[in-house]
Amino acid sequence: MKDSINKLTELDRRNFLTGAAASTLGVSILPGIAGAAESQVITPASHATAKNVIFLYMSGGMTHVDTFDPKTTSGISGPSQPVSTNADGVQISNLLPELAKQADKFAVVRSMTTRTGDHGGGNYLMHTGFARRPGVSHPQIGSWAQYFLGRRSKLVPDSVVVGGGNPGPGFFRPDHSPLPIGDPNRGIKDLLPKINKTQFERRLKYAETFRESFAKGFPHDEVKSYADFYEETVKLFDSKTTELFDINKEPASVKTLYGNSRFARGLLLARRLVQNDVRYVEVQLGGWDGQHGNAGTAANRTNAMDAPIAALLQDLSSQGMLDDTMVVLTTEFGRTPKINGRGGRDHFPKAFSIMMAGGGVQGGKVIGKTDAAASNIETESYEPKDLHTTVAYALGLPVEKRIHAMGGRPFFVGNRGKVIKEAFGSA
Amino acid sequence: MSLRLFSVLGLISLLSLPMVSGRTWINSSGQPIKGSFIDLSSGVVKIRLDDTNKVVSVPLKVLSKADQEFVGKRAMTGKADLVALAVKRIDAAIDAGLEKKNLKYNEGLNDHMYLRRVYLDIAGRIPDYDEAKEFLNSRKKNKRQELVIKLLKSWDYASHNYNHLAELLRIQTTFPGTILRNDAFIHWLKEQIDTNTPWDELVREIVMAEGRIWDNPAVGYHLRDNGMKLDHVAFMGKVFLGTDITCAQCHDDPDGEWTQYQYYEFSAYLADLETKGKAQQAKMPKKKDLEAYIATSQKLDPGNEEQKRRINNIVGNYQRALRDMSRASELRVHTVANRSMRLPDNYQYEDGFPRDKVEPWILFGKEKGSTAAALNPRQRLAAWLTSPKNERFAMNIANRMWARYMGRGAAEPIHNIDPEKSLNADLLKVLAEEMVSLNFDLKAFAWAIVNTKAYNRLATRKEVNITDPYYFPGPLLRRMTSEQVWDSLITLMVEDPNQFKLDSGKRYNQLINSSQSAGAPKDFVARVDEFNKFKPEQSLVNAAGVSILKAKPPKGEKPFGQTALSKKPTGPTDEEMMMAFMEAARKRKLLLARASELPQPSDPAHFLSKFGQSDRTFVINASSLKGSVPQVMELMNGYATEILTQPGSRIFLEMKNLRSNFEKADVAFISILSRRAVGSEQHLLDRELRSGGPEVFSDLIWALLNTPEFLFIK
Repeated sequence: MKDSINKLTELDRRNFLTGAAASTLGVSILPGIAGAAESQVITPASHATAKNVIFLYMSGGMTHVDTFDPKTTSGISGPSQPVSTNADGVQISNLLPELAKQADKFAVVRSMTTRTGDHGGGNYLMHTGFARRPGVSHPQIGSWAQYFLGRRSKLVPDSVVVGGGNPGPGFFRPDHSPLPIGDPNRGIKDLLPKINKTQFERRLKYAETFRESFAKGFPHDEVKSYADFYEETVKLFDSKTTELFDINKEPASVKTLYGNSRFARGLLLARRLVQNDVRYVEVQLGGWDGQHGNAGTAANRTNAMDAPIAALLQDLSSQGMLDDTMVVLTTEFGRTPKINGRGGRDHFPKAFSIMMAGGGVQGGKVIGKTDAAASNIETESYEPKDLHTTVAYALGLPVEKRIHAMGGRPFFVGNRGKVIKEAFGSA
Repeated sequence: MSLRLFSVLGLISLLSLPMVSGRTWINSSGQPIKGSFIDLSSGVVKIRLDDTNKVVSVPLKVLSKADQEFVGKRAMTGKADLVALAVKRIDAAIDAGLEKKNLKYNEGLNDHMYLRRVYLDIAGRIPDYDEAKEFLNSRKKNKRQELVIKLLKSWDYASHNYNHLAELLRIQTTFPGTILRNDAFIHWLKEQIDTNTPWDELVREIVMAEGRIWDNPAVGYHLRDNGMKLDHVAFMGKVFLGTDITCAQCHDDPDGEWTQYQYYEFSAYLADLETKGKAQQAKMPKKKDLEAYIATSQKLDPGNEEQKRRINNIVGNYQRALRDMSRASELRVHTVANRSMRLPDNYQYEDGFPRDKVEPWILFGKEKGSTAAALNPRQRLAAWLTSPKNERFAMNIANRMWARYMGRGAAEPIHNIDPEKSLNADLLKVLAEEMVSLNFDLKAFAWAIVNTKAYNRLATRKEVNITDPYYFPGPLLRRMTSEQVWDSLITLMVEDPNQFKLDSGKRYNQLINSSQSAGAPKDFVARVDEFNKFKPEQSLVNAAGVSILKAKPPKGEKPFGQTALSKKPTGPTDEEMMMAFMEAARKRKLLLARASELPQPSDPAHFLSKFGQSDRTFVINASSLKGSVPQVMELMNGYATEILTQPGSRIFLEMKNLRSNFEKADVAFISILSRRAVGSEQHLLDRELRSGGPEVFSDLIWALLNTPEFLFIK
């Protein structure tokens, strides 16, 4: 047996591996057996404009004045000045010169507001659309999408979070969890066996023998579902899958376009994954809370986000992916427009800005308006749940449909927020 | 005088006791000793002294009547008859249920299955190699009984049962939204479980507790829900009464069971409960003295303008740090007299107006007027809640325990029992009655469960869905809990899985307790520095008090391997291998201690979270037994598996000195699956052990861990 394996070509070897796992670990080939029971797979609503979402999370509270809502008011403008962009009438901070060249691709929403001024609570709310409450763990949009639309690929997970911890499935089944990836440069390498293939195959072969009597004795779905998870995991180890997570396979010119920072590489990985059937990718950029959000932090963070995000928009657009991939850039709350005594900006939930592009979003647009002090919203305001409802709406998820979870409590994707209709060109 | 009044009187006396972990015992000559109860056997009580931690033995009969009663409630001695009676009644209830449906009990358990099952159910982990061998090789007729008693008395029992209670009470290492650590409560609770404090007493004590965490660890229960009293009440209903009133917090229950008014009536018992107060005044040394000390110790010249600024900065930092620390003292359970519960501003029903005052009223049953009059609302609540006459209190805990051992409650869902709808209504009734007969002694109740006919049968081979009727011909097939999987891996890795335990939080509380005097500037600075550098792992210590970060394997002993003969002149010693192993674990930030001792909830990237440990925010479906890709990845390539398959882990050291490869394989099988290889497994071993290289044992261990048989309790 062992000898015959050694003679196989690389491709056969891969097939053998999956096959081995299938027979060995008792994999049932029924599609989606692990998740189907509780999911409700539907077709996306006809108004759907997006198939994928790249969710960019500026962790720590992104200052709106120094990014998408610059002002000239003294004592407020801080280190930034409004500058014109390649889109008529759209001005953003001079700290984002590269994004200014892509403004025709994105819309800015300046009328975001939230009631949560602490990082933990704000982070939770912006990731789920729901306020954090004891007793409930809410899913993120990627998991909602998988719940309603079904798992897209058998090879890769439906959602992935790059550099943002392990959010879990909320109240959905464990297989609705985003796959967490720490270092985008390493992809899933850290998850791979640290032994050679021959040894790995030998281990699988042993496991096959050792599971026989138990699997026969207890033919339960739960036991079988483990076999399915083994199958999926072995697939991830397959070099073909590993490659999907390997940004080093990207051409040098593309890598240069994005840049070398971890965030930039995370964006590149996001694009690569979306291209390969991952529906939802989140990439985080931290550090917005450093030193009370002072001028140095703002310049440093805007610098970190500017060129890579501009590159992402350019790349998605040139590959024809921007039409059905929605890019959302958000944060837990804004920063006080008024510069504080330490030369920085404090937490400011009352008004802040986000950015949206692609997936049906009309670029070159500013939605909402704050006053000269960047403190008061003068137009209709939007909350985190409205952003969630908007994304869900764009994906064609049934935002009016009540589902029951956690002992029968009712929930809606987007938490019954309103759609930011201007983003799509209407109203 | 009813039973009720008696228990209420007991309650009052309990209140007046100083809240320390131990107890003041009085011997016949009136001598008091302070310490906690450990065990009673052959008429001798073992007590661990508070001040020296030494264990002393005292004959039961020289103790005061109150002490004898206290011991009687906790000790297992003398309960065999009561337990046997309970077993008989439970068996009869199940027999009747099965008979009615013409069903038979499942097949029995062989020694291997029994061994694994009772270890996992009572000790929360698989047996180690020596424990397995001891049991399997024993020819004693009553070896199963002996094993059960041994496990019920072990610290493993406390660790395992703590995990369940921690999930129910949603215990977190740090109180949400604060920097205050909860170690004292966590430690206290394990002690209560270890010394078998009866359930009703335990619940009374946490409901009644007052003070700050360093005065009275039991306040950790109310402090957990600081600032969310109405949620706290809903959790109370689920956890202690198997009654879910959550919906009624905001509106009348659509199923018509609970009204919002009732919710507020019940909450009114806690109207005067307050979990937050003023911070204690943070005591600082005189500013002048502190500046002088900083100047000297940091060699700064106050005469120099710039250095003076530096001194001021440093002093400012200490002031701020102390203020932050002293905010922890805001968390305090106390009673604010005459505060009442009021209906919410948006109250919409006809039975009250918004902001109306609501009087306390229980959810069901009766509260005795004469006793109620003498007590404050929280005392009344505790008395009614834990009374043996409050059926649901006993039913809830009995049903929960039954569900843990059997895979399903006699009534489901366990957080909201409807006895009338239960297919096993008779069983439920018997369980509740026996809980009362055993005086809420949870060890005795566990002892009874594992002796029932149903428990001593193989798990049901056929798949049973949650909606299918089930009459307990045996337990259901259960996947191990997250904690059981982790603790089992720890058992395979280290000599003593219970070596490192979370300490009582004493040192931490000493540092943060702001009521203490500031002391000299030097001591003050040292204290704040120590607090700032405090690492949670410092609290994870061995018996000698050495932190898991620094501990070394025991010197000069050869805990594994056989004799001096087997020690080869070349190559590393066991000790060196263990040292390298512990280093490997540290490098990977793996704390090789049981789940009950680790930070709670675990980090989302931790093994425990991936296997479904509760994140300690809610109760219903808080933990999960479902599989996932990250779990499989952990078992295939995670750090735990990686280091477990390395020399230096316990299982490897067990194998190291054995000559024959087949004996080694036997160690792997018994250690991981508690059984020997059979049939086709034998054939595989025959083939592989002859031809395989040195890594064959790593492969063997890996493969055994990566079988469902490892994860499921059959």
